[in-house]
Amino acid sequence: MTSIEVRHLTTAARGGSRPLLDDISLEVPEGTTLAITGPTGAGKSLLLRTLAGLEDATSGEILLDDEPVTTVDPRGRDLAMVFQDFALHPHLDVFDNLAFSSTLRRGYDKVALSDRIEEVAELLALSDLLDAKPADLDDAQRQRVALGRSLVRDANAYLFDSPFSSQSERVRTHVRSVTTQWQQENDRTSIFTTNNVEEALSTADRVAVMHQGFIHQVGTPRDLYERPADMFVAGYLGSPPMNLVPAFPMGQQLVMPLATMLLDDELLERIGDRGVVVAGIRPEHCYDATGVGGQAVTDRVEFTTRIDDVEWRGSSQFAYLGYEIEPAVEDLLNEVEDLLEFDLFQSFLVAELAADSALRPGMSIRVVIPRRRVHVFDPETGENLTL
Amino acid sequence: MRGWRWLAPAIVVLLAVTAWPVGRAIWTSLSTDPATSPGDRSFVGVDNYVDVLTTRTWWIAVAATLAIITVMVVLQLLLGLAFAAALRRMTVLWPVARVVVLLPFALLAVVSAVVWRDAVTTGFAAAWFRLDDLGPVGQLVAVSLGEVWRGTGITAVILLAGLLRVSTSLMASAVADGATAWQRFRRVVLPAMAPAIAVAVVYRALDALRMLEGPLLVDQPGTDVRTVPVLVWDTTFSRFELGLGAAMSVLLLVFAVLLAAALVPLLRVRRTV
Amino acid sequence: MTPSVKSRLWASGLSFALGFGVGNYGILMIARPDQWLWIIASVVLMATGAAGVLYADTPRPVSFWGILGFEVFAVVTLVPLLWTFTVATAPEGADPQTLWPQGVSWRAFDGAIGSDILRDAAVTSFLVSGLATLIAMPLAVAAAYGFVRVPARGKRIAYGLVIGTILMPVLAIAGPISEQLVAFGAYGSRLALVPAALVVTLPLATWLSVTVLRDVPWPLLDAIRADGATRRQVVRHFAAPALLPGLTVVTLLVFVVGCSDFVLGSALSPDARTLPLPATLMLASGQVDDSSAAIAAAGLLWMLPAVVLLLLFPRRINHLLGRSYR
Repeated sequence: MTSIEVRHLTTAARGGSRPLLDDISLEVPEGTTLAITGPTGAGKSLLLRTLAGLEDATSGEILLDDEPVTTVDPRGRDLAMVFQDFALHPHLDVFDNLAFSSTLRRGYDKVALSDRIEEVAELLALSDLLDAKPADLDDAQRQRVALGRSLVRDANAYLFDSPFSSQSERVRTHVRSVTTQWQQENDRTSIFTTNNVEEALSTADRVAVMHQGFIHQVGTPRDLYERPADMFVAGYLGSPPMNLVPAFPMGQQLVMPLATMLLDDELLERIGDRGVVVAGIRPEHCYDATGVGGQAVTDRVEFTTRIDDVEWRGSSQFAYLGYEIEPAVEDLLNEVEDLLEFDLFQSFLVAELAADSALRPGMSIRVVIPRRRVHVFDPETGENLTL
Repeated sequence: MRGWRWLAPAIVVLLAVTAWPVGRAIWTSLSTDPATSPGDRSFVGVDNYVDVLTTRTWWIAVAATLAIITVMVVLQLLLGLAFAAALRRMTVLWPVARVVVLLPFALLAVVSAVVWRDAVTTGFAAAWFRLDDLGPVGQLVAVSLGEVWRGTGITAVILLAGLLRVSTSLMASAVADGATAWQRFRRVVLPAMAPAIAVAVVYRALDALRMLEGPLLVDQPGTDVRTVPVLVWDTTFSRFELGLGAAMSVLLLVFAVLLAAALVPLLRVRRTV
Repeated sequence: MTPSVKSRLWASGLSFALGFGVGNYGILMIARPDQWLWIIASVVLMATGAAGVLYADTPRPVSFWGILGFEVFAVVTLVPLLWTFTVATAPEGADPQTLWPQGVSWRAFDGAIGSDILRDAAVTSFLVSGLATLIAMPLAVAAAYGFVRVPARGKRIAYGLVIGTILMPVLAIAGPISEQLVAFGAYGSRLALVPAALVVTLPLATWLSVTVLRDVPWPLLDAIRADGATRRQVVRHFAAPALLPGLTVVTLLVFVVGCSDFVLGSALSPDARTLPLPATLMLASGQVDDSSAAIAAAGLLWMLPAVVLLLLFPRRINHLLGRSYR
């Protein structure tokens, strides 16, 4: 239908602190879905509201189908939006709420609209509630009505602000899949926000990671997960998150709290004369050396340590491997966290291991990590040096 | 400053119709200005205030007004609270109660004052309770009770809104914690209602302060006990001593401000521990 | 929650004792026909007590304290109204001595409706209050929007001014305003009352509008704009359903309150011609003997618009008056 492009969109904060939207540039090609994910307060809702034309940006441009619409009013932009707080009309019943936005423009086909409403209501399990008023619904139902209202509508593009947040765990996947399917069938462009990482990775064609009003990286889910551009993206995506440990380059070697890794020339050159860097290891890339996965690893980093704690989860188990860091380094890490306003560092390494081996706290374990899977970051800029 | 575009018109008009007269009152109060002979205007500084503040009549009036306000507010608060508590439980009767509770407020104060005076002088209350020939003070009490009656409904409405704010789950958890009825009232109901009570008290107190119709109705020449508003009225509009009246008006305003200033901090919610 | 047996027994005991006392006093001290009223009250109270004992240990969710309170509430509220009616319908030349009307005569009502003075006064009141309300409402709604939606420095002080003016003893500025009118040469004209009436209507209208606007679901406005509604559609689909009912009630309430103003009306009018109705009634009470019936009748008639308003919008008015604070 319509492509959306954003160029250098900036919204200054009142009082001159960090901007609420910080030089945001995005491209959403026709018919694709972009997920914007980030912690609460990242500015996701503001970005959507600015796209819809409800808020003015300080500078920058918004283009729909390569047409600048920065100064066009919301009606002219013709974007459908689902609000975080649902925004339902209290005096209208569910059917009329679903119909509402479609009836705002002349020349709609009553019968077709009614059919479409029935269809969407069916998809979202609202068919029995069409005569109810919003006050009689629970939050999950209200949210589905809000979602349905924009699905019914035929707009240039669709903006969803946390559209699935109130759905219960079991229903959520269903609602998500019918929504994406509906959008794909109708070849619609949509942007949705979520603070649920898995939702972003599993639902969207492309994902943008946003924090503090700034887009850290945009890319396909796989790209983002495997090649995070910086430390924040690496630490934010994934559950449990990537282990980020301080590491010290010493000659050809990188000394980490538990292990030591050999550096190749290319990486050595990138690290240059940095005295300290941050190494990132995904929990699922840690293998038990005695297990099947562990033995297959060839180019490896390995170490032996004591298990502090074990969490068994059925399909896998987490082993917590504690370590000590020097106070001076810890201060540096705390500074980075303060700057990012986000917790990245722990004093233990999490290893996600196969569920079959019997692990107990206090046991000693030999862990293997494929060397290519270790990311190295600059602690101050967050830049990923391994890319 | 975008907001002031919306606020400015109303605030400017409001200042024009209030601040200007208040300023004029202060200016007038600094001179003698008998309206009967407009030529005799002369600047006398604070003499008018000294005159007012050194008379016995003024201080008696202040004391009487304070007493009336206290009694009226306490009565309205107790009755209003009792009615609000009763109405909250009688949800079936709400459609009727909602209308009945505000009926007295719809009656003009003058009319209520007249019928309440008649009730105790010649009417049913005199017959029921064998009241003979109530003096001006008795009549003043009667018209004040009339005002209490008029204001109880609105007080109950405000307090009922406060009472409905007491969260039922909080109440249930207090019961589960083993709180007695009194503790529930003190520790759960009162804090939740505090804003409503504060609003009711301040509003009713300042409304009692400006009560004029009733006292004016039962005011007889030569009575000892008058309220401050009656004194202001009498000086300004019966004896036409504009300078003195203006001084009293200013003092009435000061009285109102002091009353509000005394009540507002008194009613602020405090921590219990 | 079902009230406890003990609390119900206390309520029953109290209402029984109260009923017993009322019955005795009524039979011994009160003459007919009022005696019947006392006896009815006594019977109702004692019946409440008996019912309370009977139902004390049932799980029915009935509060006998609530019933007792409601009975007291009904008596306290309705007795003075009944008395007003009795006064208004008293036969000529008789001072009613009983609460229950004896010999209902509608002459005072006829007199009130037929009286030129009262009709002029009513017209004055309606005109002044109506104009003052019409001027105040647009200003008030704009200001309320500013208070609720737009950030502005010093908003709290401005709001304080509004509240202060609502609570201010208007009498204190009645003198200066009348002097000012004399100075302008406008003293004694009906229209001169309008600016003064703004002292009453404007802050009240602002305050009530703020309450209305606070309850408006504002996110809906964003949603409708995002849906691409035109200005007209915003008015039709958002402003009309969300604002109009509340603001209509506010307008009517402000009008009624403006009509009931006594102080400014009587302070600013030199002669009976321009006195608004409350002031006219006050004047009549001092000048005419046997005026009570006329005043009570006029008062009851004057109540009618307010009562109609209450009957039409009971829920909204209660909500507005009760929830006007944060």
